[in-house]
Amino acid sequence: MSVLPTAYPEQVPVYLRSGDLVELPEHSSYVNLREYLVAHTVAENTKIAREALGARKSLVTVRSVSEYPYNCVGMVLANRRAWIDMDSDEIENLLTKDGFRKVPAKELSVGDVVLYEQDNEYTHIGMVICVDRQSVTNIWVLSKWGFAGEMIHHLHDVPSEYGLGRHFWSERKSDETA
Amino acid sequence: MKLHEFFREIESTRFQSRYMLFSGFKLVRNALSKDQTLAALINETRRNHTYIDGIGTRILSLFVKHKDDPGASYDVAVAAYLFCLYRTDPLFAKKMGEHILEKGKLWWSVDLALHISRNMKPFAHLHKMHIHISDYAYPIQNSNWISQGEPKRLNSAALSSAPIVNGKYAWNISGQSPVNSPQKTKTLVLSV
Repeated sequence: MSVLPTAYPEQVPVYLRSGDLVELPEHSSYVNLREYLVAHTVAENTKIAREALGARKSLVTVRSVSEYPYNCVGMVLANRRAWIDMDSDEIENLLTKDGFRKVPAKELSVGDVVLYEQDNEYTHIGMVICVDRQSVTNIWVLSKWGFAGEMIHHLHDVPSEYGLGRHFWSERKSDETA
Repeated sequence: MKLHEFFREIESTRFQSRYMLFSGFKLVRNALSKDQTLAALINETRRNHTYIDGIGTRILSLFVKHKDDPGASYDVAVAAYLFCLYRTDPLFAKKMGEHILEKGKLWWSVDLALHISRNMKPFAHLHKMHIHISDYAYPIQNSNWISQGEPKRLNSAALSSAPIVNGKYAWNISGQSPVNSPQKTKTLVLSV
């Protein structure tokens, strides 16, 4: 798992709850992300989201845009302070070391996280912000879409490259209920 | 599709927007390997090796064109072109990758350049190459003669320091002619 330093050339360490330090990526020494990022507006991000979702009817709202370099994993696990590369081989390990455990959909609660999967690879992670079990279960998620903004979206309203959000994790203790 | 049409498509906002949604290098690499536009460019480049030179030149021109712009505005295009070179001329891709690493500023392109650098075993891909001896070129210097169109021995030191000629690596392989002709060097052009 690699983490992008947020204040080049200073490398800001990210520790997991286990005390493990998240390893910095090799390429971080080459890239000055202050020179990299484009400041997209909310309108531009809305357009990006619409293009990504194509013809699907969706209700995606841009929550925020930022020049600060972080991604979906950094949003969930590092308080929006770091770019932590989404690595399918390591994300479960990272979540486990940070105190998370898998939970079934029926136990899902606000504040839990959802992992998206496509072709047997994890692609994306988001935070659950609403679980509505009135009729059909509606789950709403807040997640950062790569270098684009943070989006509020239905569980299934994500770019097709993200696949399906069907793996739920929580750091709540097993005897805590929603 | 002509090369300039590939350039227009790969440098389009639509193409770039898709890749800015990814959060990890492996995901980007997978997407590049499945991208239909890029697959078409790779196929065309394998058919027409002049494309390799054109793509290399295009990468360099993007650096000039976007000298004062944020890296994100052309990173995806550079990464796509580098990926194409990696699939068609790995050695050239490695050289371009080194250039990209010197520039910094880019994100996915730097990741890909490092990936290429890490995964390129010296000449491991040579078995995939067709070897053509194009012509006599320079006076002979030393003794690594390749005759009758059959490569007898490749001098790895010479290979690693090869210059780029017309978008390909050209090594001046020199040695004693078996037919007692004046000493000459042949230019060995390797292409995928």
